[in-house]
Amino acid sequence: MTTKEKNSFSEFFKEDAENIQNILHPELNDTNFKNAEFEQKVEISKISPPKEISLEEFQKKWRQMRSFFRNGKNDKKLDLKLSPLHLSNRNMKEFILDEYPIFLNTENFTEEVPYCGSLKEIILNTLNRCNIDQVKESIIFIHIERIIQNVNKLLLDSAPLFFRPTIISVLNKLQTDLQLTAEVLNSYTQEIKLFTDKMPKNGVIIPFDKVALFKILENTMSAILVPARIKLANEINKLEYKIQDILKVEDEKKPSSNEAKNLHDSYSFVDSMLKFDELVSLIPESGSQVMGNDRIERIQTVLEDLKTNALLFSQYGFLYVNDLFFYNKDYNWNTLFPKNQIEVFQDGNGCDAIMFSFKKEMGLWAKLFKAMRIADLELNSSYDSEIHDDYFKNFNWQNFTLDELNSCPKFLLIADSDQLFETEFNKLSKLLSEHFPIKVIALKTLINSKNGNEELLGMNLHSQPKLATLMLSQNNIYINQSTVLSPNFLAKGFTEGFLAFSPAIYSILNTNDSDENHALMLSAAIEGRDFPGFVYNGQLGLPWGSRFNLENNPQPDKSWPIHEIEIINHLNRKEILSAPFSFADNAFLNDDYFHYFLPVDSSYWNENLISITEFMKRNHLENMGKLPFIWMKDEGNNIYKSIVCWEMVMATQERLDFWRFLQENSGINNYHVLAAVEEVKKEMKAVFDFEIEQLQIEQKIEIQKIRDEEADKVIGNLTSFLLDLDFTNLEIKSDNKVNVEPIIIDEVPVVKEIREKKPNKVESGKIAIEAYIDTPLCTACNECVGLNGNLFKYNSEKLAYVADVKAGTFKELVEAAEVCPVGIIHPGTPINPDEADLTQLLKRAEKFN
Amino acid sequence: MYGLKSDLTCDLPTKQYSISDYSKGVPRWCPGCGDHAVLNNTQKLLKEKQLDPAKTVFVSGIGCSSRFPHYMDTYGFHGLHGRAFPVACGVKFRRPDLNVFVITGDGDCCSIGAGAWIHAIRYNMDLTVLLLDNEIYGLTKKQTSPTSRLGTISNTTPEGSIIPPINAIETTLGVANASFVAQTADWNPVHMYETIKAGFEHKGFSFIHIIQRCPIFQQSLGKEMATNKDAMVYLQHENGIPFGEDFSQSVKNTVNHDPTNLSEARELAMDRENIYMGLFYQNKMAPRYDLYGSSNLGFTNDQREKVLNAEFDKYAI
Ligand SMILES: Cc1ncc(C[n+]2csc(CCOP(=O)(O)OP(=O)(O)O)c2C)c(N)n1
Ligand code: SF4
Ligand code: SF4
Ligand SMILES: [Mg+2]
Repeated sequence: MTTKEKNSFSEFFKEDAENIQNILHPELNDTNFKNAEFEQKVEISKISPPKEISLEEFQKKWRQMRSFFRNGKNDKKLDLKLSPLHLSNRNMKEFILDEYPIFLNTENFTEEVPYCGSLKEIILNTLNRCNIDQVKESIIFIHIERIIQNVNKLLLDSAPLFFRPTIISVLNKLQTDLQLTAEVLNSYTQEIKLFTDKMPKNGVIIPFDKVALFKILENTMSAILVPARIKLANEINKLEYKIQDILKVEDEKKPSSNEAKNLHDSYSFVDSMLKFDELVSLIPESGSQVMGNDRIERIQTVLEDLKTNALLFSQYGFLYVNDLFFYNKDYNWNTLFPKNQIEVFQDGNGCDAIMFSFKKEMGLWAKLFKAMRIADLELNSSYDSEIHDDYFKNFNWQNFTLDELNSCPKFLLIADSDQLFETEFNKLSKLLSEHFPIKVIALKTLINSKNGNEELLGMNLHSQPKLATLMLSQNNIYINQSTVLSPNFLAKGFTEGFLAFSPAIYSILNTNDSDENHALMLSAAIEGRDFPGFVYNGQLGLPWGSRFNLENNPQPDKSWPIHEIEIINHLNRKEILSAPFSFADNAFLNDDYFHYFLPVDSSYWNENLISITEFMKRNHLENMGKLPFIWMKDEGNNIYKSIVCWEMVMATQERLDFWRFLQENSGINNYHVLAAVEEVKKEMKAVFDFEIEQLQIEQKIEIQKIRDEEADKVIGNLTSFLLDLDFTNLEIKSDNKVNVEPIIIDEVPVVKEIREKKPNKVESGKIAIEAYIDTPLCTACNECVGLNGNLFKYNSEKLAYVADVKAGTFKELVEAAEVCPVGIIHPGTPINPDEADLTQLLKRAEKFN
Repeated sequence: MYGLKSDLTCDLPTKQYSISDYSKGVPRWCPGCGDHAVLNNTQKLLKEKQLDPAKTVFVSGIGCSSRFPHYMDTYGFHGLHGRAFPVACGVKFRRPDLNVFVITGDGDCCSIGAGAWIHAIRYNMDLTVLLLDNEIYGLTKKQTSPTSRLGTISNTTPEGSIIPPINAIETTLGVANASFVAQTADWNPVHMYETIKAGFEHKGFSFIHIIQRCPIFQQSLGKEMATNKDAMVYLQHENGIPFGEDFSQSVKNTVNHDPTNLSEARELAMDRENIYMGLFYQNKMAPRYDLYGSSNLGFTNDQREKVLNAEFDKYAI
């Protein structure tokens, strides 16, 4: 996971006081920058000093706390308005608006520009590509939250917005808002210019709401389909023209085309020179070969199919919606998915219907691709009835190439995740086990009774139906569980699953709320491991854990994401608190669960209160007399510890267990993985040590050898010099120096190839003569090795030699000798005395031996 | 130990190329075809010289022989009939760092490509040219080529050809600025290897005429030449091409010839009785046109501008 994606989650939970100061930017602030929206000061949460209380009072409270822990259910609504400590006290709202809306690239996908993402991501991405020295000091960076807010304001009036004009107008507005000094203004215009140069060219901005995920889905589908279709249409066109040409040529071959009139028409430009009546008699009737009737018929059918089937192009996809369980049925599918055929079911029949219509539609497409392939074969004149008739008779979507499949419409089943799990599970299993490339979107909707219906409780405390993980048991399905919180990840998931031959199931968490709470609740569900994101791609192959991917979670290697929060402790000093965000913190965000928590202020804190994550790590003996708590704060930023009742602890434990299951599957903190890594490390080290040792030994030997050889040479030179000396004249002149050549070994001689041994020529017939080839003279002409590749082989220089006389007959040896263009094969005498016609063969062999 | 130097240190090259690094695919020539031997020897040379495949180009025209680049795992250009030379010259002109080989056939070079051939000889760019002469159009299934000897019976001359053939060696020697002219035969791999090697080492247009058998369309001719050792006369000189140890025993006839002697070379080429094998002529001093092509390579834009301005200044009033 990139740090950027990670941050986008954590941002909600960070009380990032310093960052806020940056937003307010003091030097601009004191001159003319006044903006009420940003005036809110962020205060650091504090622990108020404990009050003096009597022991009796303390004990009474403690008994109450213990009883609450065992029995749960604090019936009366709290009079305090509390929230998890992690949340910013700028009442969450602006943080969320700071990150989103969503940018959707509608054209020109490049590596650099994300396909889609939160607006903040896109702005930062663009800034980083601008080559600005100090990105953090650029005005756009400093005021990024204000820019995003302004875009959000525009979005209230109309959505979607076109990206470029919107950003340009917002950047200009920023300039007037800030009333920059001339000096700053100059660098700001510069900045805008760079920025607008680098920012994405095409795209729209859509609000971050409950339909955003469908918009991303639709955009991804088009992005896959449109280019594939354009390519396909071109191919069909080309084939059509070429096939028509074939037919035309065939037409010309008909005897009637040689009639004087026809000739006259086609050669009219030489009218005055030719006598057409005479010419007719010169041209033989039906000049070249004509096609058989069945071939013509086949070609005509193909042409027909090519023409009619292009009509299929109007449909992008087929959408089957099972909306019985949908909390709100006001999704307008037709506007969300234009160019798709949509059917809405209430009774789970979508599963059956989609299978039926898939088969039907794919039958039509199979006809098109079949026509294209036959056309291709015909154009190369390589259609062979014996092979192809049968193949094309049974041609269906399973024979499609991936490219072909990708230009077909997508088949989409959209249903509520609980509905699929509770009432349609059998049908769903059946659908997926058919391995049709049908994609299922299972929507899980979080409902907060604060704004919704009391009866429909969104969060199931004890266990979440784990639809996506259940599907792991189906082989080779692409499974993706995510939310729209990180749009780019979602879009990548759609692309990956839609481009595969396999079925895919997307389990997506959505809310019923609009904007701000939407983001907060999704984010909390992910942080609290209630709805962990994961991807299972069965096609990714072998490496351990590679198919299972947990990247789209905050701090995926930890049990719970841990956030560092700056607080002021009861001694009025700043302190950093490491607070994990657990499922219990997540649950507290839902108003329905208030009665599982009992807040206590610092007066009653003692060492028997331990954090819930700590509590879950210990066994029940260690937990004797302890109570679990989570951190909270009230509107006045006063910190509380809130006792979590037993039932909630169990629910939290359940989430943790499931999270561990996911971690193990993806190789995180997996016992076997850790053990294997240790093992491999050890092995590698042993191998390296051994190799190093060997190399050292070899080097020593080599050096010694060369020294010895050279010493021999020098001694040899010296001896021969001395031996050559004329000792009769013992008067050795002083200038007669011994000339010892310096040792120069710049090239170690290459060992010369040992030539095939040539046996002595012996009178034929008396003693056996081995067959052999004058290998260095071979022209590598392929004659002999073509005759028998086991008898004759090429050596590493690609020169032939007799590899194994037993692998062939004497006859072959003789024949090879006769065809060898350079006559270098010597067949010798036969090793098998029983071979037929030996006398004759020996005679033929004679002149080559 | 490869690469051990005199100070006993090791300096291993990053990659040691083997024959297989230069070969690609299975040659589609008929079994027994002389083209196989040329391919094999060329690959051997590349290995011996350790040429970087990414810095080596084979350019050819059209014909059986011109399929050659397909079987080399280097860059290649299997181009237009008769146009191997202009392409190769273009490559060499602007990419002097590349090793450029030209593979051409008797039809490709001496017939349709004759015009380009003459000027390529004169340009004397640093190319290694292998003319694979089977005295026939092989690819198009037996038509008389300009080098087919008198009386050749083929699809185009069913009664036997009646015009005397072009002698490629004689023609090349007749063109101004020829710098390296040699002849070898496919059935003598050792001599061929030495000849191609000498050609490659020569800096300039190395023209190597390879007498090539086509056992399909010129069967009797090939058999006769390959087996009649009396017909071959090997040119002998210390600056010539060595016969090769493995082959020297089958060399029957030799004649002394100094490869710097142009008029003697022409005389030998015009001898219709004997076929001479070896180096006819070499002139290491012949001017090379490719040196001009590369003269401004690597100039920066500023440098170019300066030169241009200096040029323009001459016309300033
Ligand atoms: C412009 C053009 N004209 C004619 C041809 C037909 N053609 C193909 S190969 C060939 C002759 C090749 O002969 P050669 O160069 O000797 O090659 P070989 O096949 O003998 O090795 C001809 C005339 C062609 N391909 N292109
Ligand atoms: S037939 Fe002769 S020349 Fe051809 S590959 Fe075999 S040995 Fe070599
Ligand atoms: S036709 Fe002749 S030249 Fe062409 S590949 Fe066959 S043997 Fe070689
Ligand atoms: Mg030829």
